[in-house]
Amino acid sequence: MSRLRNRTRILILILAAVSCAAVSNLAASRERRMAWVGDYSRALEIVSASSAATSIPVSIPTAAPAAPAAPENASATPAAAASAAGVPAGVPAEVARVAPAPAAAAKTFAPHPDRASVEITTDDAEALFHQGRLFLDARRTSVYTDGHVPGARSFPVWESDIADRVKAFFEEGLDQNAPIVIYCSGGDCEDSHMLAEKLYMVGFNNLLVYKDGFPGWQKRGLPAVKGPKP
Amino acid sequence: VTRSLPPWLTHPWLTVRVQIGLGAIFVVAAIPKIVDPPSFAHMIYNYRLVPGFAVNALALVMPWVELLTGLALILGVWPREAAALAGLLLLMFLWAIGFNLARGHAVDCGCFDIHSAGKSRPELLNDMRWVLIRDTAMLLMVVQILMASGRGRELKVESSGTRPPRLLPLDS
Repeated sequence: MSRLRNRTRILILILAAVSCAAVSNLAASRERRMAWVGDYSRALEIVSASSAATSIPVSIPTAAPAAPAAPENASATPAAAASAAGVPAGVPAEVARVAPAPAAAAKTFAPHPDRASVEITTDDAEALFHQGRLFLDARRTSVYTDGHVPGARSFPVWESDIADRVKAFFEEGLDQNAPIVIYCSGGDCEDSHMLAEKLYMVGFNNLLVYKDGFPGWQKRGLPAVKGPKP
Repeated sequence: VTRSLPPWLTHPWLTVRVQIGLGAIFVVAAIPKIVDPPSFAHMIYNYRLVPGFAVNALALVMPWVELLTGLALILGVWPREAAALAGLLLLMFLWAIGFNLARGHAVDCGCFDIHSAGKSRPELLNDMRWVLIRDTAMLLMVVQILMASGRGRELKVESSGTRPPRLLPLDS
């Protein structure tokens, strides 16, 4: 009898916790809310960040850099001029002029439809930045707001609306073979690989994971901006 | 078992303090996880022990279990059951940390701070060893509460057998 009472009380505590969690999740802001059922295909695999994707980028020497991808606000006046000059839209011209494009600018990154992503170095990421390629930031919104690559768009994989963001991104009709650079916090951070897999599943074939992430970007002294906007 | 223990080990003075201490630890650990469930889900994911579909549900519910368990211990509401639940949680944490330590998979504990500290692998592995020691100490606190409540019950049964008959009014 006593044992039954003990178990009933433990069950009541657990059910109360489930109820509190449900109410809390319903009342949470977009950044804090989560779907109850997770969608993490590699949750039981131990993969080092370097083995999650091919570490050597597919690169072919070429004479001229590829045309910049079309960011969402590329038609504006200074941004359009900057974009034509190989600078991502939304990046102030003075920011984009801080460093010349390195030797890696001579590389072009071919689509790789057989795998979700390939990893790239800081040199590659810098070159792609100067080519005006699209950057996606897979970190949490709050971290993105604290600082991100100029022009990078926020795609926080751990927040509840990531599926909607991926769907909206797909519906923009961007070239699915154009290089897209994805980054997170470097080191063991797998958020960029997770985002790459989500985008690969909807058809993007040229996803480049910048493995050193934003810490590597900052360490190199490359430009960064703060705030919620790209 | 509880009869052979020294009385001070199950003394109410000690038990109340152990309950409050353990409860406070659980409450402090729960709050950051409740405030930011996605970061805690990320921590759980990093352990590589929970199936993908269950990661979010666990991240949402577990902090509330910790909080209610902690509050029950502090307030002295169902302390035996709360201690048992705390013990189950601690055994689960010990297993998760111990298993990953054994297979050399370094993870941030995520026990009190749910944001990655950016530590190196050797630092993380060292932290995990300390977490094992800390959780074992907390498990001993659980054992103390359970033993004390068990002894309380025994005393209750014994005293009920020897209780003097109630004095009735003379005119009844």
